[in-house]
Parts: sequence; structure tokens; C-alpha cells
Amino acid sequence: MSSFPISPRRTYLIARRDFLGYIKTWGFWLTALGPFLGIIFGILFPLVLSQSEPTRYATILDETGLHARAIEELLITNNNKELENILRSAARVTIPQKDKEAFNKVLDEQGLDAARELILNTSPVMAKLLNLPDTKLVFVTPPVDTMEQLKPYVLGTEKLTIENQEQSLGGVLHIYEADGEAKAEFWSTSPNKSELVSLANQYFADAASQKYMAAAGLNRKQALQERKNALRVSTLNPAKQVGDDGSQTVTAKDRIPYIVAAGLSMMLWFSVFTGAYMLLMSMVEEKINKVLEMLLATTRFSEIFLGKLLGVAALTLASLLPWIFLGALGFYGATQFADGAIADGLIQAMSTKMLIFLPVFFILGYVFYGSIFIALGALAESMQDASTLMTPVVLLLTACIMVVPIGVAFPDSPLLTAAAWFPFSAPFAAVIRLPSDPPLWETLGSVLVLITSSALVIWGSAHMFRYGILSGGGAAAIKAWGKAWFSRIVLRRKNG
Amino acid sequence: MLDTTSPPVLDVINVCKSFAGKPAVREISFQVGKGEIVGFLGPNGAGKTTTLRMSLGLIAPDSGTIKLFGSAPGPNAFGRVGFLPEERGLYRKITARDGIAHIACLNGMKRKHALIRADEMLKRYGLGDVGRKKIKTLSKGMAQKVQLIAAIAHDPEFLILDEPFSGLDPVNQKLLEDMVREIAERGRTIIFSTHVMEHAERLCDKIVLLSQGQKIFDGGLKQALSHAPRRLEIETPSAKAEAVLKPLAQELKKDGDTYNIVLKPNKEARHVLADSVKAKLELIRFEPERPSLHEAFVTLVDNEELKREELKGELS
Repeated sequence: MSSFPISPRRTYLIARRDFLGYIKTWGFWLTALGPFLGIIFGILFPLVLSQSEPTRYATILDETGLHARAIEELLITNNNKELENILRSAARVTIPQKDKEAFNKVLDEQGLDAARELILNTSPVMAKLLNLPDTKLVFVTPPVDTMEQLKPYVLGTEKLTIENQEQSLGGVLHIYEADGEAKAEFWSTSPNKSELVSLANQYFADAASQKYMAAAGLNRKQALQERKNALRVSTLNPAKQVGDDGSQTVTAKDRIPYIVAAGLSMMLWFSVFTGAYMLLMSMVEEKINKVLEMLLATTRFSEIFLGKLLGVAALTLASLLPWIFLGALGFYGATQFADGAIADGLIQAMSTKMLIFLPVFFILGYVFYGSIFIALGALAESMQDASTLMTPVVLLLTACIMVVPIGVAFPDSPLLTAAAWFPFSAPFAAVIRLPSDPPLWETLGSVLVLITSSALVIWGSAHMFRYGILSGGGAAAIKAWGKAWFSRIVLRRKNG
Repeated sequence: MLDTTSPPVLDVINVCKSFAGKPAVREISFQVGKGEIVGFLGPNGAGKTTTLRMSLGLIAPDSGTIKLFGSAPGPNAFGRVGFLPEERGLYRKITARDGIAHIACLNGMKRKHALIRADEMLKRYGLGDVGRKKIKTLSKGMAQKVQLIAAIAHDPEFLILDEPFSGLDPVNQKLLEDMVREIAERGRTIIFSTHVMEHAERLCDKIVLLSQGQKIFDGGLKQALSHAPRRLEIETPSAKAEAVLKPLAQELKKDGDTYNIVLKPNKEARHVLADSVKAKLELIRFEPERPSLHEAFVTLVDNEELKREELKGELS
């Protein structure tokens, strides 16, 4: 019986059942909605975290009279800096590129509220989120004059009255002089590190550094400015076409394609792994449920094989749709709002070569690994068997993902070139090599290697599948297949 | 409804199959004619499942030929055969009607019709109220019936049932027998393997008996039964009864006035009756026992083993 002729209808029926069988499960929807759940969780988690932190009342007992006010002012400065950073980050995705300069000018000259007002015009939803949560550290005036008198407040036996409500004192920063030296102590019953301690340490470090520089006749602010204006090395690439600015400087635009390729390669790896794993599980499930023998009385091996590949491919694609949607949205957003270099880099990353070869390597990688996992599933008799059989392939697959960091850090690495010719790593290595514009024949070579290997794997997998199902499975099935193949091909040839 | 004019539905000719060098099926030949119900009998490891799998083309024979509907088994027969494998199973997470419809669709039915047929058959076989329940929630017997329905829903010309009665309670065994009869009445051909001789005895037109991978009998039910030892029970107070019966008996047991006799192979009940009348035995009871297929089976297997032992002895 030939293994390859197929009936499209029966193949469709097998694919349909596998697709519908999985799409109704919770697991599928959790995977598919993962990115959205991640976004919701990512927004909710910090909000919940900040809401769950109670307000802490603290006081500074500054016997020197030199530091309390400065520390309190430092807290306000830090909060403003944090909000400024948030506004600048938000502006990257909310302020159109043409208005970026105006926004920066407003932020620098008119302050935070004016900048937030600008974001409100383009993205009211985002603007609402751009408030720092109310500070959880609140300074109060010491209710008594000495540390000894303050201790009952720290212990909770005495309470503060704030806005007609009794509150506990979370801690006391006691600054005093002893033996001609300034001392600072923080008194609290909480074992956790207080924000006030960090703040005070920052203040004292800045003050010490300022004092030291002043003693040498230097100005700290000036020094920081000098550091900011220091000479920086430009990276130039002679292979790069001279840009609009007349230079060959390497910019973010040149690096982005590698980062995008790395991301796509990771996504490809993840999809191949997920798809192949689903194929293995589907196969094992049918073996355990004893459905396969009944199917085989009505359907060819090749139809079951191809049907499964197609069904799970459709399923993988369906689970990728939210990622593709978000990716497309992000791409559009970046081209509209992001810095010019980022937008140009992204457009450059999605080159014609990438658009053509990414789906090609996606399909070939899936078919290659999918066929291997189907065969492993057919050989397994139980879930434990399946885990044992898949471990070496998973290890190999995991090792292959190492090409991604190599591709980002050393795109010209000979190891990466070799990996593009090795079928197990070829799909990922070839994709990550695309931004470095390898010769077309090399990319086509990787395609050819994968097509040939996939054909071989399908041939071997189809045979192992056949033996795996009707023999006991496991090592016995491989042995039976090997023996049958040897006697049929080798011995017949010898005798013939 | 045996059709003797049509070519055989299944023709197995000199088929051999070994696994890891160990012969599972040796030189087996038999035919299943159109409209026949054939019982495929044999002890465990006799080669029944392997032969049935080869008949469907699931595994290839090492040598010999198998013809299903006149050609090699495989895709040409898809949709014309219904198969119930020995190892039962359906998709556990789908409903009974969907499971049946899926197999029926693979056998060529349109989905809409397959679902209607699934509902009809579930109702007919007393499972109408579980059609929309997931298979994993059904009892073992129910799931087995669902699988049988899945095998026959597309109304196949030829039904291959591997151990269909195993795992069923007596009520469901009776129901399955009725199902088999009903299918046969519609002119369909059936081969089923079983250990339970009573089913074969009640259902089959023909018996194929395997032992240790070899066919040891192939023929009609009456012919098979003729191999069973013939037993008689006689009650007589006559003192000379033992002397009269002994020359005719292979085994003779006396319990009071009752004699249990296993007749010699060349003797029949009429010979006992004739000799008893001639010897003027006072017969209170004379009851020839109906031969059973079980005994025929045991005798045939024993004879075959004896032959093998003799052959071994000769060779050594």
C-alpha cells in the first residue's frame, strides 16, 4: 500500500477533528489570549501592588537642624523625576513624531502638568494612567522632642492624630551629633527596609560628594554636566550607505533589524515547539484512547499524518493570531509615534527577504519538527513514554535556540553560518541571519536542506508511525521498523 | 442469505506472518463468502487479530495473498468495511453522536447524514439519551456499543469484529447478537473472532478455527460439531448393561443405574440403542447429548497438538 496518495476529504476530516478537539479546550484559549491577559495583568499588578501598600507615617528628628528639610525636598524631587521618566516613555507611543520636539520643549520649560496636558490631547486614556500613585511615605512633624519620648510612638503604645484619626508612627529618622560627628539612626519595628532609609542614604551620599568637591573648589552640578558633555565614540560602518546626514554612523536603525529578527526567531521557535508538542500529545492521546486502529481501517497513514500536521498548523496559527494582531498594532504604532530611527529600523527589519523567507522557514520548521514529534507520539504507549522519547529532541530544540543570542551579538559568526545548514537549527539561524543580508544562495541552501531533511523525516516518521501504532510501541517498534527496513531494502538488494 | 454465486468477499491464501522471527500466522487460507457469518475461533495467541489486521491491510503479510473485494486490502475497500478492533476506543472528549459521525464521515458519509444516522442508531440500540454526552462519561458497555455503532453506521458490506463480545455483560451480549443477526439479515457479510463458543454456535454459518498460528478447521457448523465427542446418558437397572455398553464406549462412567458414555469415534447413538435392544436391557432413560462447539474446539485443538507432538517425535 502506498503511503503517499491522499484523499483531501479524509485529510480535511482528520485535520478538522484535531483542530476542533483542541480549540474547545481551556489550554488553547489561555495560550491564545495570553498576550491580552499579560497586558491586563501587567497593568493591574502594579496598580494592585501600589494600592495594597499602606501609607507610612515617618518623622525626622533632626537635632542638627541641617538635614530634615533637604531630605523632604529630595523625596519631592525624586517623585518628579520618576513622573518625568514616565511621561517621556508614554510620549514615545502617544505623541506623533512631528510633535515630539514640541513635547520635549513643553516638558523642559513648562513642567510636568503641561506635558501631561499635551498627552491628554492625543491619548486621554493614557493620560489618566500618568499619575504617580499618592506617595506612601508621609512626613509628619515630630510630636515630641526627644528620641526617648518618640520610642512609645514607634512601639505603637502612643498614637499620632492626623486629620482627626489615630495613626501609628512607622519610623523615626534620628539625626544627631556625637563626638563631633554626625550620626543617623532609623528606628522602626518593621524588619523591612524603609524607603526613608534609602532616601536619607541618597541624601547623605550626595551631600558628602558635594562637600568633598566643594573642598577642592569644584562644583558637583558642573562636574555632572561635564560628564554629560564628554566625548562619545561613534560607531561607523564602511559597508553602510551614506545617510541623509552624510555619515556612515551606526544607529539604532541599524540594530533594530537584528532585534526584530531575534524576536521573530524566538516566536518561530516557540510556535514550532508548541505545535510539535500538540502533535505529540494528539498522537499519544489517540494511541491511549485506542482510536488509531479504527481510523486506519478507513483512512490512509498519509492522510492521518498530513491531517494532523494541517489541523495543528491551523491551531498554531489560530493561537498566534492575537500575537500577530498585537505585533501589527505595535508595528503601526511604532511607525506613527516612535522616534524616526526606531520606525525606520522596523521598516528595514520587515524587508522583502524577511517577508518571503519567514513564512517559508516557519512552514519548513513546523513540518520538520512536527513529523518527528508525530513519529515519537506513535511510538509512545503512555504519557511517560512520550516524555522520555521527546526529551532528547526537546534538548536539541533548546540547544538550537542558542543561535538567537549569537545572531544578535555576532551576526557574522561562523557558528551561525553552520547552524543555518544544520536542519535542526536551520529555521531559527536562517531567520536571524537575514538582517545581515547573507548571499541569497546561502538562504536558499538552508531552504533546500530543510526541504530535503523534512522529506526524509516524513518518510521515516510515516514508517515509524505505521510500526509504532500496530506494534507495542517504544523501542520494540523502532527495532521492528529497523529490522523490516533492513530485510526489505538491504537484504533484497543483496539477494537481487 | 448466503450468496454462493458471488466471488468471496475475503480470500486469504497461504498467508504467513512473523514478528521478531516468531511465527504468528502460518500458511493460513480461508474464504468468507458474501452474506456469510463466519466465526473466527482460537485460543489466545492463535493469530486471529493478526489475520484480521492483515485482512484490512493494516499490516502486510510476509508471504501469501489476501484479497478483499477481489483486490489487495487497503484504500479500495475504505467505506465498504466496518471494523471493530480488539482494543476498543473512541475520542473520549467528544459526544457519542460526534464520535460515530466522525467515523461515518471518514467512511464516506456526508456530515449531516452521518449525524442523523448516529442519532437514529443510538436510539435504536437504546442509547438515545446519551448521544449528546461525552464518551468519557459513558460506562464501558455503553462506550463499546457506541464504538460498534461507529463501525456499522455507514452500513458497510463487510463487517470485521475482533472479539466483539468481550467486556460486555450477558444482556449486552444478547443485544450484540441481535445486532449481528439483524445486519446479516440485510445481506451483509460478517466475520468475528471470539472465545465464547456459544455465540459462534448461535450465529455462525461457518467456523474457522486457529491454533498456534495454523488453521485447524474450516467448514460449516454441523461439520465442526461432528468433531465433538458424542455423549449418551442411559439409565437401566440391568446388571449386564456395563458389558453391553463397554465395547461401544471410549469412556464409561457409572453412577447407580445411570451410565454416562462417550462414544468411540466410529460409533453412534443408534448402535448403542440397537445393541441395548438386542441384549434386552430394560431402558428407563436413553438421552443422546447435543454436541457442543466447545467440545469440538477442544477436540480439534487436542488432535492438532497430538499431531504436532507425533511429528516432533518423528523428526527427532
